[in-house]
Amino acid sequence: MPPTTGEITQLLASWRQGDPSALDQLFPIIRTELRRIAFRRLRREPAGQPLQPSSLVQETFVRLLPNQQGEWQNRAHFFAVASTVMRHVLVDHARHRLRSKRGGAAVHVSLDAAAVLSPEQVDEIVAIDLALQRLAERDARKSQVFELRFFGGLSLEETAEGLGLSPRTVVREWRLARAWLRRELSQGDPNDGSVAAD
Amino acid sequence: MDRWRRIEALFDVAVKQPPSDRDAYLRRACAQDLELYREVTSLLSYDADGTTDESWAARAAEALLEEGSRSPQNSPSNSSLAPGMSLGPYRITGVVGAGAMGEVYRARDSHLNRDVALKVLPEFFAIDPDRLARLRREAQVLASLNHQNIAAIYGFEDRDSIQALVLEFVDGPTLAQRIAHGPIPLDQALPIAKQIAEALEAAHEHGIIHRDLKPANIKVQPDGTVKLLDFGLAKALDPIPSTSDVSPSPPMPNHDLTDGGAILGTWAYMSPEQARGGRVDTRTDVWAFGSVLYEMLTGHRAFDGPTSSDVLANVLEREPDFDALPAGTPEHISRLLRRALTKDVRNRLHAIGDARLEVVEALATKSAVASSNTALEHERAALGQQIDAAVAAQDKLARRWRLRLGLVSAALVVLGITATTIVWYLRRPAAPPVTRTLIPTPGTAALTLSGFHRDLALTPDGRRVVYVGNNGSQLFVRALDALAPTPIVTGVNLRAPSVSADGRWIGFSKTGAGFWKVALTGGSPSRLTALDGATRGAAWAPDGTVIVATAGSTGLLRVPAADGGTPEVLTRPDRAAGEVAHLWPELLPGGTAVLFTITTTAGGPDAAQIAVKDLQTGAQTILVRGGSHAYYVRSGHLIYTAGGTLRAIGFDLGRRETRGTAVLVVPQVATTPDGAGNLAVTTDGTLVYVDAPGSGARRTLVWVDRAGMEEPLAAPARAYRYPRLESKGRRLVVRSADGQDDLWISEVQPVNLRQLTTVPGQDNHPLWTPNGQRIIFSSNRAGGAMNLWWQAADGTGVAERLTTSPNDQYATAITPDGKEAVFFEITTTGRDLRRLVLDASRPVTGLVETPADERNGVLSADGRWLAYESNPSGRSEIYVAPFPETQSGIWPISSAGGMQPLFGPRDTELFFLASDGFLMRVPVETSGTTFSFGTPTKLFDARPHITPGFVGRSYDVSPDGKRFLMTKAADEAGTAPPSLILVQHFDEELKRLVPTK
Repeated sequence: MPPTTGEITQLLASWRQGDPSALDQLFPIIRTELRRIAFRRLRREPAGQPLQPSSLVQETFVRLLPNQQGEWQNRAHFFAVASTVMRHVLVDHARHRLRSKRGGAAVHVSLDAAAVLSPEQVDEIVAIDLALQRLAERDARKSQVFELRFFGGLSLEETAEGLGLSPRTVVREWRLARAWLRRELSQGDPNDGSVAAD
Repeated sequence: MDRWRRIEALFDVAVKQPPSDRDAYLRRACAQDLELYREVTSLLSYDADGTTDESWAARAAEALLEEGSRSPQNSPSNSSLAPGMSLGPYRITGVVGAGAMGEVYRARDSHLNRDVALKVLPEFFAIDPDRLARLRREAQVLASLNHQNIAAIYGFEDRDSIQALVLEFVDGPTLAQRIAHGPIPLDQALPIAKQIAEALEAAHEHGIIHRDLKPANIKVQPDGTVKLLDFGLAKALDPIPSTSDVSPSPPMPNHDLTDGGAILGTWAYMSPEQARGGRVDTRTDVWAFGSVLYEMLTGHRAFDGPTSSDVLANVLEREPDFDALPAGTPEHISRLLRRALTKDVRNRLHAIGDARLEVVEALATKSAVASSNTALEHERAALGQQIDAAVAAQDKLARRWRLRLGLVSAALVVLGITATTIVWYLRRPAAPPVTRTLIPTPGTAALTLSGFHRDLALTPDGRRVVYVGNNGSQLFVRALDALAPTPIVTGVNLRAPSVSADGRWIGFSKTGAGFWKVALTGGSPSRLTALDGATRGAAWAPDGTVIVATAGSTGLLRVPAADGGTPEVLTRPDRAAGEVAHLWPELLPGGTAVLFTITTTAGGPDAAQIAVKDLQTGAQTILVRGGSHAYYVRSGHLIYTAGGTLRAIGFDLGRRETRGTAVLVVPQVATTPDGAGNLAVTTDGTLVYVDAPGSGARRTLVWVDRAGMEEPLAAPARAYRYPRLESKGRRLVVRSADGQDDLWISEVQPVNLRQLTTVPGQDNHPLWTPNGQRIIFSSNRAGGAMNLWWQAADGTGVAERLTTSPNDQYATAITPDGKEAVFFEITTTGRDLRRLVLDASRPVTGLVETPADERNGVLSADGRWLAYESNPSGRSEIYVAPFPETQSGIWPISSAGGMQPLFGPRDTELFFLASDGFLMRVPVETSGTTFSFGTPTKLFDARPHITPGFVGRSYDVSPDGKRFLMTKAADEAGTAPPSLILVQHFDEELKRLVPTK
C-alpha cells in the first residue's frame, strides 16, 4: 500500500520540525518511487538517452504528492530530501557497477538503476560524490547547494527555500562550488577514488 | 577570516568583473599572497563557460547555472573592501565604521598623498543607474563646497563594482564623544558653535542644506578646528529618493547606525517639519544648530526620551527645558536657543547668519568681563522677551492644527498642487480635512491578499505603504510621493509585512519558513527565527525586538530584531480558560505594552477578545470583547476589527482603559478568519485598508426576473446569504458571512446596508415579522446551539431570546397574524418542523416530525398551507400540508428533487429549486378546502444564484411576484485587484465619530 499524500506531507512536516526518524521513513518511499519511474522511462525512451536525475525527482514528486504543486513548502523540502536520495541511489549504483566491472563481488545490477546512468556517468558520479564529500568538509553549505541543484534539479528558488538561503547566496555558492568541483574532477582519477572510498 | 572565506570572497568579486579585468584585480587584492592569487585564479579558470570537452556533470551543472544567472536575483553586489586592498588610487588602511548606509574606510590617496575616507555605498545604488547618476551629480555639487569647517567631498569612485564617495578624512573625536564626558564649558562651546554656524552659513549661501546636523556629525580637531561631516549627504543618500524637496522620511536615519541609541540620536536633532516629512529648508539646519548648542551647554539632548516615539513626540510637542542651561549663559545665547528651537518654522530664526551674530556678540560680551548689566543690555533683553512672548502666543494658537501640516503638504505635493495653493492652505487655520485616496496596485504589482494574513503595512511616518503583490512573489513599497510601487523582495509565498519602529526594516513571513526581515530599501532578506506555524502578526518594538504571533498556539514570542535567535515566550494561551491562541500583537506608544487578540474555543471570531499586556509588569487586562487586532491612535482611540468592519472606542492611554462605547467607523474591511483586518494605521492617524472581503465567498445582491435577467443591487460584494424582503418589499435583511455571521439591513431603494447584529456569535436565517418591526433570527450568541431570537428591525433595543434548546433551530416562516413562527430543529434523529407561539410563554410544539429530514417550511399568504422539504426517499422533495393540521393531508409537489419552497405573493404559485439548479414554478390553488396544483415548469437556471451546501432558502420574491432577490458569486477573476484605500487624518474622523470628551 503506497503511502498517501497526507502521510508524506506529515513526514515532511515532522522532518522540518527536526524529527530525524521521519527522514528514515521518507527515504525508502522516495527511493522506491524513483526506481519505479526510472524503470518505466527506460522502457519508453530510446536507448542511449541518458536520463536527467532532476527530471526523475520532479516526476517522483508529482507521483507521490499529486495536487501539491502549489504547496511550495512541501515541494522544496521534498526535493531537498529527494536530492539526497537521488545522490545515494546514483552513487550506490555506480559503485556496484564499478565493482562488477573490476571483477569484484558478483553484484546483481538492477535494470532500473542502470537506466539512469551511461557508462561515463558511472565513473563521474562516484567522482562527484567523493569531491562533494571533500567540499563538505571545507564548506558544507556549498556541498549542499550543489547536491540539491545537481542531483535534485532544484531551481535556484527551490534550493534557496529548501536551505533557507537567499537566492542570491545560492547563485554565489553554486558558482564557486561548480568551479571547485570541475577542478577536482579534472584533476583526480575517479576510479581510484571509488576504490579508496569503499 | 580563514583562508577559504578569503578565497570565496575574492572569487565572488572577481567573477562579477569582465574577464579582462580579473587578473589585475586579483594581483592587487592578493597583494603579497602568491598562493592565494594562484588558488583563486585556478578556480576562476574552471568557471569559464562553453568549453567543448565538458563532462556530463559539468554540462548539467552548466544548464543549471544558466538558469540561475537568468534569475533577477543575480544582480551585482558591492563587496567589502579590506585593509591592504585598493580601489583605484586609494589603498585601504583601516575600517572606520560600518552601518546601514555602507561601510566607511580610511584610505590613502596614492596620487595626492593624503588620507581620505571612503564611504562605500550599499548595494541598491549599484543596481539603479539613475540613482547612481543622480548621486554622482550631487556629489559634484557638494564637492564645490570649500570651507575650512566642512569636511570636503573629493569625488566619487566607481570601479571594480564598488561605488564609493571619497571624503576628506578628519581625525579627532566627534562632538558627541566630547559631550559624553559632560557639558562643554561656555568658553569652549561658543567658539565651536561659531564655527558650526559659519560652516552652515557658507553652505546655505550655496543653496546646500545639511539636513542631518548632530553631534555625531561634527568633529573637533585637536587644534580646535571644527569640521562638519556628511554635509548634504542625507538627501543624496536617501534610500528612497523623492522627486520633490520633501525631506527624507524621519524613520530612515541614513547614517552609520548600528544601535538604537544612534537612531534615537538622529530623531533627537530632527526638526518638527522634518519629522513630519514636510518640506525642508535652511531653517531645519537652524533648528539642528540650536539642538546641538543646547546639548553642548547642558550635556543632554534638547529632546530626548526612552524610545524613538517619545523622542519624536517631544520634538513635535514639548519645549526643551531651558532652565537646564548653565548659570551665566548669556542672554544672547538663551534667546538664540529659544528662537532656533521654535517649532513653527515660520516663527523660527530664519537665517543661520543671525545665529552666528548672536554667538559672536555673546563671545564679545563675555570677553568684555566688565560688561555688567548696562542700560542698553536691559533694553535689549526686554525687547527680546517681548518678541519671545509674541512668538510663543502665535505658536500656541497654531499648535492645534500645525501638527497635521506636514502630512497635508506632502499629500498636496503628491497631487501636484501648486505652491500658492499650499501657501493658501497653510494660512488657513482649520482642522485638516480627512482625505480618502485610492492607491492603485497595477499590473504585476497587484495587491495580493493571502486571506490569512495582514498583507499590508505602513511605515511609522505614514508615507510608505508596504504590501504583498505579484501573487505573493514580491513585496512592494509604495511611497506616497512616488507614482508607482517599487519591489523590494522577491520570493515565494511572501506574506504579512510589518515595519520596524524606526521604519528601516520590513518583517515578513514566508509560508512555513519563519520570520524574515529585509531593509526597506531592499537587499538580501535574512531569517530572524523559525516558527512553529505561520505568523499571525508582528510588532516591532523600539527596543530592537519584534513581538511575533503564530498560527500555532504558542502565544506571543519576542525575537531580537538584529540577529533573531531563539524566541522568548511572552504569553501562553490559557487553555483552562478556553483560550486558543494569542494573535495580532500591536504596541502602544513607547513600546511598553502590547495589544493582542485572544481567540477562544467557543464563539468563533465574534468571541475574540482584545487584551493589553504590560511588558514590564506582565499585567494583562481584557479591553474589548468581540473584536480583533486593535491599534492605538493618538486621538485617544483604539480601532479594531469586528465582523468585517472597523470599529473605534475611546481609550485612555495612561490608565489603559476604554472609554464609552464602540462605534463602527469603516463598514467594510477585508478580514481574515483569525480576525485581522487588512489595514494598517499609524499612531498619528494615517490609515490604509482594503475594503474587499478577503475570501472567495464574495457575492453580490441581484434582482432576477422570471426570465432569469439580472439586475444588480448597488451593494458591495460580501459573503451574502439568505436575502429576505420585508412583506411590503421596501426593506431587505441579509446575512453576511465574512469573518462572522451577522445580519445587515437596508432599504431596497437606495441600498444602504447597515449592520443590525453586532454582538459576538453567529447570527443567521433572518425572517421579517409581517408588520416589518422585528427580525427573527438564529443565533449562538448565548453560547451553545443556534436558538431563536428577535430584535427590532430599526436597530433599537436589544435582541430577545425566543427559545432555549440544545439543538440548532432555524425559523423559516411566520403566520400572517404574526403570532406563530415555523422553524426547523436539528435533533438527534434528524430535522423536524416545529412551531413557536410568540406569546409571553413561548410554547414550542411539533409540526412535522418524521424519521426523514424536514426543512424550510413556508406558509401560504393566507396562512392555511405549509410547504416544506422532506427526504423520505433519501432525496429532498417538496410537500404541501394543511397548516396547522399537518396530519390531515399531504401533497407531494416535486418528483425529481426539490428544495427551498416559497409561495408566491398571491398564493397562485409555489416556487422551489429543482435538483438541477433551476428555479421551478408550480401553479397552485389554495382557496378551497383542498390543495390542488399543476405541473412544475422551469423559470430559469438559478445555479449562479444558489450557494451549494447551504440549505437555507437562497432567494425571496418581490411583493409583485415579478422578480426574485438573490445573490450571485462575485466575478473574482474578472474584477480588478483590490485597491488600497488611504485615509489621511483619520484621527480627525475618529474625533468626530467617537468623541472622547
